[in-house]
Amino acid sequence: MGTAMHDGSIEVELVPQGTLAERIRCGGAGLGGFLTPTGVGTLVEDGKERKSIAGKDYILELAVKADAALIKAKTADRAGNLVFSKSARNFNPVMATAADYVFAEVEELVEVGAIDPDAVMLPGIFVDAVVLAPGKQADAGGDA
Amino acid sequence: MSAEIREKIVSRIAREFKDGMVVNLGIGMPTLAANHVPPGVEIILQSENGFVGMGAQSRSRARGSRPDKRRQPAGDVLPGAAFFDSAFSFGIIRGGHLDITVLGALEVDARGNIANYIIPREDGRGHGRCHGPVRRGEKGNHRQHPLRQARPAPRSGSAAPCRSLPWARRT
Repeated sequence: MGTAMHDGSIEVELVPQGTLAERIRCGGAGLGGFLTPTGVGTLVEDGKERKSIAGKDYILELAVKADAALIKAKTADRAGNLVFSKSARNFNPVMATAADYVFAEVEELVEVGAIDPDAVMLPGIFVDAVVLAPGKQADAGGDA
Repeated sequence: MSAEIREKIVSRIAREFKDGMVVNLGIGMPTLAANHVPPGVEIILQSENGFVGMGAQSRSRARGSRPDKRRQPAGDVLPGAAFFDSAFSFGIIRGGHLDITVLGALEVDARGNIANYIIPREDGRGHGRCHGPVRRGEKGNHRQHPLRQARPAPRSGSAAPCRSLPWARRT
């Protein structure tokens, strides 16, 4: 990846992590972008619109979307409802909202209804395909 | 830098921690500050990777091995901890809900402007999460303690309430 970036065979944009999370969130929520003070007056601002609101400067960051997302969860049911483990949640649920096609790799696959609706961290409506991690067993027979 | 000097710096930083503060520690030396929290003081550690409520020792270990820092064994999580996704986590940082963040920096100037995400003409380090907390510094409820290495680098932001604890050039 580093080599491909330096020889120019892939284009890489470096984005502050919180700005990346929010850009993805916007992409998944149907928003065009957001105004943030993060990056004002730094290289991050290059080529971006600046706006002053109530005396404070912000830059316009645009939403990002993906054609496909590969995400990882601990548990899925057969409707694609997902539960993540601890801090492995990080970018997974938000990225799933911002991609046209979402593959979820999971450690365990359970029947619909086995996950308490209160415990679902990402609703299955965002998940197109569930793939059981190699070496893991589904709770009951059948393919995902 | 000798281990003795590192200990001195991180223990000085830890004296800034007051009971009940929500604290985010950067990778490297800043994480060591968690091991020097004064007696009788409890702080709540927040990680940009999506949780609050992590043990000091375990955070230091977890953050030391960077590729695995997102994978916290269950034992590292204290009672009362909470997990959330990255967008929420940065809302905590950028929304001004931290009391202190401790950052490393490549360079700090006399006004508290800090540079800590790239070295010109060298392999990129990337922004990481440093920009967000740097901006929050303007709000005044959020102090930083950049640890300085002397090298010219583009700045990440200006941080008026920033408190700098400089040390000599890293070799």
